[in-house]
Amino acid sequence: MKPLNISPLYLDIREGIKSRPGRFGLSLFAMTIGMAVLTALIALLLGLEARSQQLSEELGTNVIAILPKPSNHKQPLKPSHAHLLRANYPGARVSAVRRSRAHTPGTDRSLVVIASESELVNIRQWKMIKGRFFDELDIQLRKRHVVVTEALHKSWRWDVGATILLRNTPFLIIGVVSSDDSALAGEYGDSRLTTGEQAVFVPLTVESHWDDQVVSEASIDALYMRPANNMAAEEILPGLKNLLSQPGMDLQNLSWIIPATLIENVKQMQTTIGLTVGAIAILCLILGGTTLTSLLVANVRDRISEIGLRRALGATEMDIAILFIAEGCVATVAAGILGPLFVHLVLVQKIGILSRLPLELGAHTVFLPLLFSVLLGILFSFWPAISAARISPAEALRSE
Amino acid sequence: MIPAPKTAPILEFKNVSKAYSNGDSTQKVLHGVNLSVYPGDFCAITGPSGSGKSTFLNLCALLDEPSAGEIFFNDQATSGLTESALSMLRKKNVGMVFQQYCLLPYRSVLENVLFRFRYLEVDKAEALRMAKYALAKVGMSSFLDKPTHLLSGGEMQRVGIARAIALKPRLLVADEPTGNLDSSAAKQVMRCLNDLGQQEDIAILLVTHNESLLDYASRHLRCKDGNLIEHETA
Repeated sequence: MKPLNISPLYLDIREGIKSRPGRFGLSLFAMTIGMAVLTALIALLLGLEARSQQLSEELGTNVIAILPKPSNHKQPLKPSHAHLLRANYPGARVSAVRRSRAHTPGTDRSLVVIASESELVNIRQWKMIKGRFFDELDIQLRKRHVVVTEALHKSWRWDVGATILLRNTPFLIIGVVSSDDSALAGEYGDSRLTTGEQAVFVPLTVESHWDDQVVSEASIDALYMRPANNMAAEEILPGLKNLLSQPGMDLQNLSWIIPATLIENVKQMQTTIGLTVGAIAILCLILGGTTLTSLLVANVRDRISEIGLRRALGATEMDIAILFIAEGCVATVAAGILGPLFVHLVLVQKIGILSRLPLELGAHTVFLPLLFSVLLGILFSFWPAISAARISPAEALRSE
Repeated sequence: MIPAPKTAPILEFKNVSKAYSNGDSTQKVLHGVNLSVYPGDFCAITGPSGSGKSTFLNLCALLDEPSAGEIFFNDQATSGLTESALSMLRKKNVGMVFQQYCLLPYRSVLENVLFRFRYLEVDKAEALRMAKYALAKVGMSSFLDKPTHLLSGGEMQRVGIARAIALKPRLLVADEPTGNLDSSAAKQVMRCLNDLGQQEDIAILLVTHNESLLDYASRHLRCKDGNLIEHETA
């Protein structure tokens, strides 16, 4: 028969907890709040990290977007600026973009119409689901070709080869594109960079008499550029700014957006959240931890004769230290389970308070707090455990 | 009368001294104690408070180390042994009985006796058998599942004795085991210890203030000014 300990450690721990249930409960409560805040913090920071990656991917790798600032009404971008960029950065892909809305007869909806050049699909690195994007010939011949989003293809059953009407003007569908930009449309992105699900793409040169509003052909809403392969967007950005702000251009009031800009915005938010929520988590954990330490110190003081008894029965210093560290870890590990459970099941699933935040919940928000709780348990119970272990058995029994 | 040695001593003190240092001053508690304790000996130790009885008992139980001299346990010198080796020697060979019983309040009588095996790897069934045997020896077989806080003082002390003898120690050390008991319960406990010493061949060292209990002992050691003087028993 396998030898076993008659009185396992868990029985000893249970008695330790029973001897001071109130203080144990208080410590557990504070630690649980701390662990819940910590779990939310981890989920939020990782969620923002994922969101920044998503934003970068949706804008497109190494892409530069140039847009007038919302307050800038006097200095519109023009198609000629796209030609200027092409001329100064050989090998770069450039596309001017103009946005408008058009009513589609037979429906009560109006669509976002993105008029662009042929390179837009390559710059934004969108994936063609069916057919093709319009090419240079379509641009030059002012073909009434249209590329629809995957959402329109699925919901309205618009397919390649079909003809649609944009304010009574027929357009031939030549392709279906996947242009997911849900993150860019969110609060951490920039809605000016989005197309939306209800959008169609037409050649920039096509007359816009199908538009609901009068659109000036001379102006555009944005310029997108992707430098040649050997150049990074960050590197050429200063030169680009100089180019478009030289005398006669009158283009000082522009937004320059590159993936790093979007990521930087999210990083700033991560830092702010990390500092504020992190401080709350640390305060709660320190409160819980010090309560735990004082609980264990009181336990050691109250249980000196028990420590003496254990030493008399053959317990080593290590056995005594392990006992008190284990008692401390029980409180922190329980908090390490309850805290994440509270966030996952109550705050997110049941009440939904946090469901609007970009939380990344998963194994990491379960196991990281758990691991952290073990470390905290060892940290906060170490000193009482060592002081208990160092009590001489003779002295402990004398206190009896 | 000092009984003739039956076998080799289980415990031997050779010129053992113990002093405690308190900052700059040193307080000598025991001076050059020489003593041999044999299996079956029932030694009663008396003496005024502060005479070094408890210090002597802690040295006997290997809970403390002498400042000078040598303690032999079962012919083995204990100086220089590591903490874990001393701990092993203690847990296998020494049983202790305390004035305040030192029982675990949330556990039953049987669980308290089983606690004797807490720091040993032992077969559970064997431990149960030994614990029940020890409880039978002290007349507590009918209290196995009773919580210890419901017991009388005498009963609690008998559970403490059962815990101490459950592993069949070679030496039983009792520090004023009757100090909290009325005379009837004290006599019951002393009879119990006496029987155990004779039947199980255990050497017993007992500290007491109660001179009337000396009749149960086979040897009487008087502690005075740090010296241990052997008196003849009646």
